[in-house]
Amino acid sequence: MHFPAVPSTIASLEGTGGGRGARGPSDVLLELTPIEHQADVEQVLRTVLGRIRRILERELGYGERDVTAFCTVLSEACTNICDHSADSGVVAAQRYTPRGGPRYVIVGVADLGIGIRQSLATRYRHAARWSHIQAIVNALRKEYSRHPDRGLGLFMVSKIVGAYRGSLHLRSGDARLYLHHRARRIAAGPFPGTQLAISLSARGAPKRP
Amino acid sequence: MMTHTRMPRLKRQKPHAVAGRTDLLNGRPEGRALADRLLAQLAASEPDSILPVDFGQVRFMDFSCADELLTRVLRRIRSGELGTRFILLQNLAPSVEENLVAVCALRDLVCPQRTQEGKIALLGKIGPELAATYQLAVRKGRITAREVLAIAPGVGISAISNRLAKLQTLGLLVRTREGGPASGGRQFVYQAVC
Repeated sequence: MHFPAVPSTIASLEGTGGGRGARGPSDVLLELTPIEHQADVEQVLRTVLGRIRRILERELGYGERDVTAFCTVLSEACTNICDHSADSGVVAAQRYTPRGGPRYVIVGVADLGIGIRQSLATRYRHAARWSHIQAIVNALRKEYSRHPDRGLGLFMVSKIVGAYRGSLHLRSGDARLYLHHRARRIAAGPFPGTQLAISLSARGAPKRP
Repeated sequence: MMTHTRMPRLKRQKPHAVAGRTDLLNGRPEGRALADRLLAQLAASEPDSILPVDFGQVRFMDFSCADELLTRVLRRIRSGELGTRFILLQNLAPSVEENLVAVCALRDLVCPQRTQEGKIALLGKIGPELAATYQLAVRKGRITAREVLAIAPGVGISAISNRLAKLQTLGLLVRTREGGPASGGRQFVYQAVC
């Protein structure tokens, strides 16, 4: 299934939509952008390293290392669509300035592809026997028993999220996991593909080692 | 009188430029393609040589791409499959170095690099004793276990030999046997990969 040409009418990414809400005023950093090929990911990165970089520096106090971390999160999440979803997807990013709290940015990535469990099962047959929540947890781990050399893209995303006092929300199949200091499973209806929402705080918000 | 058999200095090859479709490198497939090109050039280069790997054309490299490139290449070097052929990273933009450092940390790898200031440093972490021994080899060019004692006076010669062997396993030193009239025999001499 592909996202329609006007995905903003159906996509419901956490943090998108602009306007005032409980979190305070938000601003769009990256409009809802289709991701189908590596070239789309490159274009997103180019936009971040150009226009968005200045906003991140000015409003979140990000330096070079922080912008690199932000690009890495975007790149890893978006490239997973191209490499693993067997579908196309979308990405968006917004910044928030909550009253009485540090500024932060939310990146949302989603696809309606084969989901994390089936994607892992195409590479590791035993993954087909996992539950969706098991697949999500294993995808975030640095190692699990049989495949110490597997890709660590999502693990790196979770490390960066932790270092920026952020949160990671990952949804696939009938499972939804929320990571903020610790992991929590949240009840969710079925979602055929994969949905990621990543928040990163401004520089100066206390970082976790 | 025993003659000296000096190991030739590691030859510096013409740099290999890391270059993808654009200056923004991302994803495992791109990393694999870059690794394949680098490994092909390494395998084709002469033995006892260092191939500088130049990242001057790279503006950003994500973790997955860096992982495929660096992990595959360094493991092949460390396995000994490529004989005495090594790499030295150079011209790393901070945005590129960041993810290469992360790869080294997660995969327990280490690689020499020439910094923007022209100094030789290590990407990846090794213990302070190993790092000091490697830097001694970089300064002097060639060292023996006895010369390392000068920076580690309280350490026994066999522990020093273990350090040197460990650095060789990590692909940071190249070892050879050389003879000399003073020793009356042959000894191991180590040259820094830099």
